[in-house]
Amino acid sequence: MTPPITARIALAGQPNVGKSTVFNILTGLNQHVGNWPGKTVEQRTGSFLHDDITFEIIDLPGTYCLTAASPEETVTRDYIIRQQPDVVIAVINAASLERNLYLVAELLALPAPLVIGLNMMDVAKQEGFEIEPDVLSAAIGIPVVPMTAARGEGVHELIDAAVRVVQEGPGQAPSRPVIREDHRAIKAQIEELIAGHVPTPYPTDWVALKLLEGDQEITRLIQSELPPDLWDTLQTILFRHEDAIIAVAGGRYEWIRRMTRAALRRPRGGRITLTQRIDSVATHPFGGLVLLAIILGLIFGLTYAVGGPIQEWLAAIVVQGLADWATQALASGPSWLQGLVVDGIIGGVGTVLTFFPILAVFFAGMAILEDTGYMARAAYVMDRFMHALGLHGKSFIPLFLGFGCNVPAIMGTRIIESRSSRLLTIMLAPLVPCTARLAVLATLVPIFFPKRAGLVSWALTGLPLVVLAISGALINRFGLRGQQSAFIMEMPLYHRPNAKTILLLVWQRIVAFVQKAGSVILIVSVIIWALAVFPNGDIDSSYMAGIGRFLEPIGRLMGLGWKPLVALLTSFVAKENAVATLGVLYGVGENSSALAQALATGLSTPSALAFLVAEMLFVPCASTLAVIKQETGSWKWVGINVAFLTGLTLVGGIIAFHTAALLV
Amino acid sequence: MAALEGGSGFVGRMSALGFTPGAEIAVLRNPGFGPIIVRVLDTQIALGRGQASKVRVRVRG
Repeated sequence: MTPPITARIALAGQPNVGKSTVFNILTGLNQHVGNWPGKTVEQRTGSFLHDDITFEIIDLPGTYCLTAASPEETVTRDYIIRQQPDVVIAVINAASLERNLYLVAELLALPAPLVIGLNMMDVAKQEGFEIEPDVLSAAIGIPVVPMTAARGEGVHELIDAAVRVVQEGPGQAPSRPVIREDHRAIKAQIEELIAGHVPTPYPTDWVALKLLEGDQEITRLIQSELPPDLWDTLQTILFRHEDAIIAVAGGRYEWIRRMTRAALRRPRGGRITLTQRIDSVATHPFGGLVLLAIILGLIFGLTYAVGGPIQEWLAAIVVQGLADWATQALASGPSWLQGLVVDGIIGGVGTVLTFFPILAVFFAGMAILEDTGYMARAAYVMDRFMHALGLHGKSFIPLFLGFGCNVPAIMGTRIIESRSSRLLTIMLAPLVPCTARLAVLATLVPIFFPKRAGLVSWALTGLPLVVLAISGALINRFGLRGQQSAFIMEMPLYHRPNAKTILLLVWQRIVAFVQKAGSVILIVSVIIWALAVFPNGDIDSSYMAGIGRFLEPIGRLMGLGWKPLVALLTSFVAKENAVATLGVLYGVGENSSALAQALATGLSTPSALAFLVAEMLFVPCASTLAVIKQETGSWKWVGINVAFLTGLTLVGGIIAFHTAALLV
Repeated sequence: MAALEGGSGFVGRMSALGFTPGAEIAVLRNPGFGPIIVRVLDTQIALGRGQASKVRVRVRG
C-alpha cells in the first residue's frame, strides 16, 4: 500500500529560472501534463517519494509578478490563495537575484509558508556574483537553499527544507515588504474601508495592495462585495492615487535592497562574460541572422540525416509489414474488411507513426534552443521582421519549422506567451508549405510545365508565403489593431541545457500528439477511405466522387472538374495522397510516365495551374487540424482556419485560372 | 530612469522587470530599427521601440 499523501508543494518562480528542471528531477515520469480548468495555460502536476512520504507537487506557470494581467499570473495567485498548498517553493535565479526577489516579495503577501530555492548558483558565480544564502535566509526569515538544478545539486536539500517547514506548521514570521512611506496612510484607509467585506480566503491586506495597483480582477471582486456608498468612496480614493502602483513596486524594491544588502556582492565592471561574448554575434543585427540561419540549417540537416531514414524505415518495414500481414490474414474475408484494415486503419496508424522521427528531432531542437537561452536571441533578431506581420519574434522559429511539417510548427507555438500572437501564428502556420506539399509540387510541376518547371515551382512555393505575410499584416492592421504588438522579453543568461528536461519534453509532446491528434487522424483516415470505396468498391462511382461532382460548379470557377477536386479532398489525410488519387482517377495507377501523359491531356494549362495553387493554399492535412484543435482547445479555431484557407483557395484558384487563361 | 508612461498593466509588468524610478538602465543594442536591448537590475531585456519610448530617462555622463 502506498503511504497517504501528506503534503502538497507548489513550485513558483519567474521565467528562465530552471523551475521545470527542478520539477522534472523531482517527478521524472510521474507527472501529468494538462490544462488549468477553463484556461489554455499548461498545468503540470506530479508526485514523488521523499523519506517515505509521498508528495504531490504542482508546477505553477512562470510569472514575473502576480497581477492579473495574464492568465498565468491569475492561475498562480488563485492557486495559492484558494487551494492553500502546504508549502510554496519559490525557485529564483541567483544570477538575477534582485529582480527575482520581486516575485518573492509578492508571494510573501499570500497566506502560504515559503521556501526559496536559490538556483543557478553556477551561472551566478560565472557572472561574478557572490551570494551568501545563509545571510539572505536570516534577513528574510525563511529557508534559502543554494542549488544548481541542471546538475542535480541542492534539490534534495530543498525538499528537506520544505519538509521541515511543513512539519513545523504555521509560524513563519518573515520580513515582508511594505508600501512606500508616502502611501501608507492611504493603504490603511482602504483597509479600514473594505474590512468585513473581503470574501474569504482573500487576505484584506493583500486586497488593499492590489486595489492600489489597479488590479482589475480584484477591483471587480470588491465592487461586487461592497455596498454602493462605500464603493463610491473607494473609487474616489483610488482615482486620486492612480500612480500608487509605483509606490507599491517601490516598496518592494526597498525591501529587496534591505534583504540583499549584506548577502549580495555584485561583480566589478569591466569583465566580459560568456553571455556577452556569445551575444556580440547572436544579437548583432546582421551576424545574428547568419547565426540563426546556420542553427536552423543544422536542425533541418539533422532531421533529414536522422529523421528521414527512420521515417522511411518505419514506412517500409513496420507499416508495410503490418499491411502485408493484414492482407494475408484477411485474404479469406470480404474485400471491404481487408480494405478497411489495410487502407483505412493501418494507413491512418502509419501516418501517425511516421510523424515520430521528425517530431522528435524538431521538439528536441526547440527544447535545446529554449533551454540554453538562445531562443530569446532568435526572437530578438527576427522581431523587426515579424512585427510588421503582427507576429511576435518568437513566432519565427515555429513557422520556419513548418517547412518540415506543420504539426511541430503548431505545437511549437507554445513558446509564444501572448495568446493573441500565438493564435495568429497558429492560424497562419498552415500557409508555410510543408515537405509533403513541396513533394506534390516536385512531382506535378514538371508534368504540367516541362519547360519552366523551376520558375513555376519557385513561384508556387513563394505564393503561400506571400499570402501569409499579407494576411498577417492585414489581420494585424484591421483585426487586432496592434493589440499584441508589445514586445518585452527577458534575454536569459546562456546556460547548459538539462538532458532530462529535454527528453521529457520530447516524450510529453509526442504522447500528447498520439493521444489527442492520433485518434482524429485515424478516424479521418477511415472516413476518407470509406467515402472513396463505398458503395461500389471503386472511386469513380464512390460517395467521394459524388461529393466531387456536387462541388463541380464551384470547381468550374477555377477550371477544375470533379477529378482534381476529389484529389484535393483526399489530400486531407496526407498531402502526398493528391498524386496517387489523380493516378487512380485518370486510370493509370502509380505509373509516373503514364500519369504524366494522362494529366497533360486531361488538364489544360490554366486548370493545372489553378490546381497547383489550390494544393498550396488548401486546408492542411487532418494531422495539422487535429493539433490546431489540441493547441487552441476548441473546434472554433479549427473551423475559422478551414474557412479562412478554403476562402483563400477559391480566390487564389480563380485568379490563377483566369489570369493563365488570358495569357495562354 | 525617471518615469514610466502607460496603463497600470504596462507599468506593473515593467516594474516587475526592474524598471522603477531611480533604476540604472544601460542600452546594449540599438540597431536603428526593430527592438532594442537594455540592461536593468543585472538582466538583459529586449524592448520593442514602442515600449522603449514609454520609458522616460535622465541621461548620465
